Amino acid sequence: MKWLAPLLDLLFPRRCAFCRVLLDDEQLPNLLCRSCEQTVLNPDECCSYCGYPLAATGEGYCPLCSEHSYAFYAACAVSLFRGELRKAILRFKYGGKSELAVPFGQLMARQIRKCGWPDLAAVVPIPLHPQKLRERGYDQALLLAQVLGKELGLPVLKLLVRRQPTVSQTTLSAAQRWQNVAAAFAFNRQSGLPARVLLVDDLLTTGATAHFAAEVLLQAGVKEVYLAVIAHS
Amino acid sequence: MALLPLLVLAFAAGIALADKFSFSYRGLLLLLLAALAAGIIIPNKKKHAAAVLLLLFLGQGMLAYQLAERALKQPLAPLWNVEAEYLGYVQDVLSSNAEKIQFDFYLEEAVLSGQQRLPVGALIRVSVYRSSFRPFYGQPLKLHGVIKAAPGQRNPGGFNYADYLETKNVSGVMTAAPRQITVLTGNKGKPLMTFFARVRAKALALLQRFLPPEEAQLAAGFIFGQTENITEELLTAYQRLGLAHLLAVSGLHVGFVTSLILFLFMRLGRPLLSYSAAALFILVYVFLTGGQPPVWRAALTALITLAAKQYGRESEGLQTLSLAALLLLYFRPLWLFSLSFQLSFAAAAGILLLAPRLQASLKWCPQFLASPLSVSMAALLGVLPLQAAHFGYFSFYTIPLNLLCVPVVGLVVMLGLLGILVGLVSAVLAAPIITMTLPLLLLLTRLPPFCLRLPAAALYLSAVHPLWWLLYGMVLLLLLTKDKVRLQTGKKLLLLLLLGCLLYAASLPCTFPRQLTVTFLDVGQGLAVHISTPAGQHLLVDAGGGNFAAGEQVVLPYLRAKGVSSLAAVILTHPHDDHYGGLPAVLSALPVQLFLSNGEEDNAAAFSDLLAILEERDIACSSVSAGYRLIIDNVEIKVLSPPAQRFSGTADDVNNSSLVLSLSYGDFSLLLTGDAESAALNELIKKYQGRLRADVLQVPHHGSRNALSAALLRAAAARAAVISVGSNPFGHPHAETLRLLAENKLAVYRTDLHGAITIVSDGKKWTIAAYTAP
Repeated sequence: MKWLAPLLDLLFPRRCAFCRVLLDDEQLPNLLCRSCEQTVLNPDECCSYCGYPLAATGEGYCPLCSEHSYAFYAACAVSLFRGELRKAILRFKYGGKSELAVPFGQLMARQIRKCGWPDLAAVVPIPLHPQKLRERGYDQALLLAQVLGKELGLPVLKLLVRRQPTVSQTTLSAAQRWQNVAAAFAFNRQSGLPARVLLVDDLLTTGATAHFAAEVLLQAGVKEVYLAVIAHS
Repeated sequence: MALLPLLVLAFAAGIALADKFSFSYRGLLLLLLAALAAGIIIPNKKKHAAAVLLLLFLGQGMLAYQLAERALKQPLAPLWNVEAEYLGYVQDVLSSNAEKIQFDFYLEEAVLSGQQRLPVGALIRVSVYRSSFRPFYGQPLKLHGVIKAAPGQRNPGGFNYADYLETKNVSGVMTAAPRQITVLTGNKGKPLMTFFARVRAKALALLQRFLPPEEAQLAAGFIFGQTENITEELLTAYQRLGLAHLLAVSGLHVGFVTSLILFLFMRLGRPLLSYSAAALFILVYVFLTGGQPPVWRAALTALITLAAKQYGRESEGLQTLSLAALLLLYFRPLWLFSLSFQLSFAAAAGILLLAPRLQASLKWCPQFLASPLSVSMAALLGVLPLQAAHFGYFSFYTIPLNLLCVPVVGLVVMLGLLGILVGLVSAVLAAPIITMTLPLLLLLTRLPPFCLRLPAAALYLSAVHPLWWLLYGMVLLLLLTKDKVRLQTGKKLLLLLLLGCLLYAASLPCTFPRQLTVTFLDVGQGLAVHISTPAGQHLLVDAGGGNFAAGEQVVLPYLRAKGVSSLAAVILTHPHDDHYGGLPAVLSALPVQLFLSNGEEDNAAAFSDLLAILEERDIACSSVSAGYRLIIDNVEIKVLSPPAQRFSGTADDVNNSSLVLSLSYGDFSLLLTGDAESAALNELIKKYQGRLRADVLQVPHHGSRNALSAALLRAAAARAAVISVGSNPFGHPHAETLRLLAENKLAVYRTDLHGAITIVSDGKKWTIAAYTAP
């Protein structure tokens, strides 16, 4: 649909995915405005384990990561969950703006390419419980996974299901979050198990959700799990 | 500002320009070519390119208008006023009851005399009175009759039926007698449309089955936009209270359909599937409701928003609305002149542009109230100029009523659609769902008429100068662009103040031209004369008939357009319905100081209404006879007849007792004869021998045979004559009358041929002009 782009630009002028400012001609091919582009993380300067920016440049892991050993092999985030991106994610998750999945997904794909991870075989979204889906109307992680799959040329596999509805992580303290999602996921058996998968979610806070989801995948026989999120908090 | 809204405005301006002035195709093509050439030659600087584009769209708009007009007029060109047989099928049924049947007829072929067949391809609106014939979509018919052009605007401020029909794509009108309709076999409708028509008919039947009649009609109005069968009283209440938008299927309804479908489908995790499903249902709903401009506006904006979602773009309200407008105007340029189109876009633009701004200033308001309140206010601000111009009423209850009624109507639409959907499978299952709407509908049928009876429910607005609306627009723009209006940077404010002063000066009485204006309105068969004195006072002599609602339809809109907000005097010549029928509407809308009549009364109920209103509004009434004089601003109105001793035993005592008035201003004089007939007029000639001279004569009794005489013409020695007449079964104006007038070389002006007739005099010279050419 490349030929449609100019028409779409005329009808739906491109705005920065974070702060919604109109993009001028120079910035048009980008997804972000100049100032928001500055907030995008450089994977070289981040913890190669959890994707959080390091205090000092150089090889290594952040102090948090030495406490937990996550089940996923590595993670990357587009930016930090604050400022304009925070507002944008809230619009995306709770404001009905499901179309934001496209620029977010594209940004995540760009970030993954920068990370230089080995070849991935499939994209797996962190599932949403059907009850949440009913409330929200759409599954934001699935939408992100679909965009990522298209961008990276990978199949989207729904390998995980939610066992029971969990309380929203946002209402809980760090320790409670680990308990809350400990047994939340189950494996959804499918034929042809991929070796290396990309787990997709919108936010990474304590890493609890992604950890247990990755654990289920590893137990099921997946070799390595990588994690991509929009924002790290 | 984004380019797209400007392009749409240019396109619309092109359409409006082409409507006002006619351009040759060649000139238009030259303009377009010039714009294109300029686009190529002028270096690609953004501003220049935009100017060229605007010019291009302006030209396109003009071309689109001309093509649309041609497509409308061309097919019927050889058939105007030709009696022939017309073959085609029913396209749309507008009303179908014992009294009147009206439908749009798609004319495929005309069979002229001598079996000459002519393919046509145009829509005509057919009216049939008192017939058992019940048309349905796709029904093939053979009509025998005459196609006429619909009447255009007949009076200043009046309704233009021809233009209205053009916006509906209807080229001509026909009145057929029941025996002139032959029903042919088969069905010529398009299969899909036939299906939709059947579904709609079934849905309406369901509503009628489970709801009381009035509530069922109102529900049909909410769900399908069908307002034909809603009672006049209820419709008036909705219009005057600013609730009429609920009866036009629009954003509210389409928004509901869209969110329901998205809600159901999005959980499947297939965005494309859910967007497509929503788009499909939106289109189905558009066709079910008959595709009026507001539903198309809402549907297109919804479709564009869905497309944006599919392509991962955030749609923007104004861009989306502009594209919807452009698409609609491209395919139906004449919709620009449709009131529902204008109202729909004005409201939507108002909501998009003003609602966020208003909501920001409603911080003190609880959140659940602030959002709907700002939407209602923004929509009202958007449509206010249109509402004032077309309905002439403003209500303070509009906002609170909308806050209450919008969610209730939303619920009715939701339950109604669900019930209908279920009812298409099983009527039994639908019954509880549809009956659930009854309490809501009871509220919606009772509350608006009740509110209309409250004080200050509908304030009458007379027309204001268009410049005032420009000022209004500028204030809105200021509200839109500035966070806060600051005085020190107030160049714009200064400009506004200057404009305000200018307007104020323009509206002062001293700037009025010092002229007498007398207007004979075209009220059909009847009489209504408006007199405007040199100092801007207003008088009304009669107000046309009640049968055609001349008061509401002609006299009030005319007075509103002329900016009349009060009447110094109303004079009733005699108590016949074609003279007083329109008065109750006028007297209840405008303050009137004095009511003059000959004192006679009529037994009809309508006349008691008139007396009741006179009583209720506390208007000074006076019964007058020959010798009475009324002098306002140097305009003298003398009563010449009847004498205090009324006529009796004449051919028609009521008509003969009609007031005969002589109006004079400086050297100009006019003789208003009402419906006086020969007995009274002969008496008059005898009594005022040599003193009946008048420049203009109103031909007595609508040009009846036994009214105008050679003697009267000699006595008045008028140079022009006005006949106030409409279609009637009495043979008015009589051939003998017309012959007399022609013999005496009077310039004859007839309201049935010329529309409103206006006489202007400065006290020395006078001119007479017709509003339309015959």
